Amino acid sequence: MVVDLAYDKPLPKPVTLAQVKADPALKATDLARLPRLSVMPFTEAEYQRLLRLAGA
Amino acid sequence: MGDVAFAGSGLWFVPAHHDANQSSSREEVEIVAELVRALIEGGIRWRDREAQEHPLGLDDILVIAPYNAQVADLIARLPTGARVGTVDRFQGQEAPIVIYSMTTSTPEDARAAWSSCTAPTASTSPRRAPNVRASWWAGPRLFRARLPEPEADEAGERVLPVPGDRPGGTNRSAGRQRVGRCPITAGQRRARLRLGRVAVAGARAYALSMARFLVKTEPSTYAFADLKRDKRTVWDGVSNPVALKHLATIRKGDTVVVYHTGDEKQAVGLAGAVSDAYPDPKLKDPKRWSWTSRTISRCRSR
Repeated sequence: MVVDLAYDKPLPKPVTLAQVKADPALKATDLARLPRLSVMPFTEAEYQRLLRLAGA
Repeated sequence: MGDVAFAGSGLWFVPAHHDANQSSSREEVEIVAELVRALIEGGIRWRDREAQEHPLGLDDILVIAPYNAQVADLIARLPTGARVGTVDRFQGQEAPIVIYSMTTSTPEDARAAWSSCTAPTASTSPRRAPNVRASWWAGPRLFRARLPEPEADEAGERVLPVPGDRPGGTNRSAGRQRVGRCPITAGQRRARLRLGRVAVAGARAYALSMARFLVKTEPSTYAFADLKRDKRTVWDGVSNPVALKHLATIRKGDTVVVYHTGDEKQAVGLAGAVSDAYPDPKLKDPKRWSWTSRTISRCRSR
């Protein structure tokens, strides 16, 4: 499977894996738990939390 | 209010008795506040579409009201950070629990509520149904209203059937949707059927319309800067079966966070899906083709 992606915008600040693992709202995500998984869904709450960590 | 611990998924109606409310309702603000408190303090867990469990938090509850006055009262009453807004504001957002405060006491005042309920039904599909919980707070007299039909919805998606009650034999899909367990009088059933059409359409619209994903890339191979330069690219090279399974659920319009692997290990930017996921045209492996075709049919089946 493939998908066509279009550039949108950079995050104001990158969000590191260490930040994700340390965050109570994000530490249960696949991103923190499954280091080898390269495509994963985010819930809306997790996505909004990530944006907040990014300063967006 | 004693029965906050709804289990399973479905649509619940809980009556809130009040008179002469038009664009705000104190009574419903108090009930919603109590419900939200009970939900987030109750140690409740919910299961997402990947069958993973999460503790229920304030972020997982959307509170919607048809009027700005009611929204303002709800924001003032609910904990800081609660997601409260009008239908317009939340169009396209999703949450495991949606609470809709109908606000108005009587049908005469309710026209705005109906039109805003039916508006977001466009361009949604049931393909990603998570465990949706919609609570519906309203003055019981609203059920006497004659509601306009939601327009241009797909057949079979519209009616909320009541067990043991057949809507005049016109609806062959009765029984497909789950219904709330709140006991109602026989007199409320017919009106509830009509209201249900709007309720189901509204709840689906919030829950299903857009999704978020994260994709990883090795920046020395293809970095976010390369995507900026190219403006658009075919995201290929994914081979892990679980990753492919997730990739197959991406649809046009979804948001995708781009993450750099290797030494960086950080999320760096945002991209948007400009197509649905599709089979890799470069791959000739018949096994993989058969796997992908199976996945497509499962994702799109109703």
